[in-house]
Amino acid sequence: MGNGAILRTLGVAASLALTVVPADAYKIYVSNEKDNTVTVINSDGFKVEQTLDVGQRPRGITMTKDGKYLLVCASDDDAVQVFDAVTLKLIKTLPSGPDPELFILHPTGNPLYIANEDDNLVTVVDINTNKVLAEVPVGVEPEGMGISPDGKVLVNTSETTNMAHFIDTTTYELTDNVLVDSRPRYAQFSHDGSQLWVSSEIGGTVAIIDPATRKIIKKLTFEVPGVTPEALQPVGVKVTQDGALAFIALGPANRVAVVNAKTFEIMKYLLVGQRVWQLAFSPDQKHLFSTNGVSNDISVIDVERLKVIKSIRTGRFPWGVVTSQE
Amino acid sequence: MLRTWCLIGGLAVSIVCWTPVYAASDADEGWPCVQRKIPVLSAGMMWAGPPVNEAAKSLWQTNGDVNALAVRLAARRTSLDEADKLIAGYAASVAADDKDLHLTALFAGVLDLINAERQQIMAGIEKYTRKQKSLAMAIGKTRAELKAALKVAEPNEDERKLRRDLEQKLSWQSRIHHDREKSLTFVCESPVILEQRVFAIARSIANHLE
Repeated sequence: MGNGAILRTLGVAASLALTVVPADAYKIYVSNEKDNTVTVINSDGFKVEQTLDVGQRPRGITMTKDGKYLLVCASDDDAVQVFDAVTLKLIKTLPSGPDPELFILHPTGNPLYIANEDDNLVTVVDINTNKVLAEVPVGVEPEGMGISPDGKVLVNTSETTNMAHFIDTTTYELTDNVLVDSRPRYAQFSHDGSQLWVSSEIGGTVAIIDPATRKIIKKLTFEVPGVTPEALQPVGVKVTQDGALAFIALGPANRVAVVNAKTFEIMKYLLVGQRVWQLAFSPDQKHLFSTNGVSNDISVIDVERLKVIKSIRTGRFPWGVVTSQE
Repeated sequence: MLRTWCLIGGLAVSIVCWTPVYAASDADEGWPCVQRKIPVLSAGMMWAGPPVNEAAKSLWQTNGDVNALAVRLAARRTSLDEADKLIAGYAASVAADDKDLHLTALFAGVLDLINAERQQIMAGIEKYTRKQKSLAMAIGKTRAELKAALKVAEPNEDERKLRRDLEQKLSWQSRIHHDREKSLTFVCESPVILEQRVFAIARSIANHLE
């Protein structure tokens, strides 16, 4: 082999080495409400890889269970957009009902349950056939959407009615309502289905409900030295897979509360960015990402050390966040 | 309660209406911005470092270096990139034992200065709103006068002149009100921009804590 051929071979090898992506690399997708974009971040170095133009006022964002598609609530377009997660090309638009804000997929991957803020409905859509399967009337300004791990119970929170509505996913009928504090924003089941966490933004509390009895077993309140109580506005909630910890985004308090999910003791308040809104874990749950709507960034939290390790610039008003392989 | 104002154009009476955005909530009556009114930015919302105690507050006012740097960082003409460099330079110049206190004092100074500027701007916004409200009332008065003038079945020359004058007055008053209302969107951004600035500076200072 001549020198030129050797150099060419080495060159090819070097360029291959440079393009090798770590096996556990994943992507973080952030919807930017004011910019009508989605920021795509590579977990390898937490670098912004691309900014994708999407529909108007993107808020809720999720991935299909097979990881192939990215779903975005384009609230002002009254649609859910479906993007190829690799090419980031718009594949299709799902019917969503008016003003879709947040949504959740059934644990099997289909259907999609969408909260229609302006129409007091939850719309159920088959993501393969694009058909609306049901429209379930709920309380005023529906927002938070949680689904039990067995997929049998859907929970929707209504901001104005101040209730968590329990919906049977087979009959689409309301089976129960639990009154919570003012302006409930988010509902999250623990992975074993034994707890349902519901945040109340104006009430400043998080109710932990036993889904079996529909009774509130604990109500969390928050206190941060030097922060006025009105600024403590819980929104996004995430519980670790092992059920040990819960993280609660506290809005304009710029903090994420870390809660022992067994004893309900508040362990720590992490200073993240301004107006912290939604949260998402990395696939291995080693990191947690928070969208910070006023400082226009996401914060990266090291879940084991309970430390904020990085801030990544996004578009304006980052709202929702999801990771691939989640 | 929101009130809708209407611009009446010409005798054919074409009417254009709009609704000014006042008060995000009852608690913020007199506050015209969609953004919630946060009267004072508290240290706890920005800072997870050492407590911002009396020692820190007094140091920024008495120590010439800290004071001068706080003033420079608070000024909007200093870019955030430049602020990062200034903070890094200062942190490197302070002895390790003094670093946390001096950096906390620096943050306290920037927060105080930006809070003062922000409060002035917010007072200005509220004054602006009061002016808008009195202009809106004047529009209502002119409109009532015009309505009365239009009721005269066979107006004489003086009455026709009065109609024309009132129409012109209403047109000008409405235009000024409308233009000011539009510029509110930009005016309302100012307190938020300052909130973003103080947070970014706090974060930059905190990166150098021991």
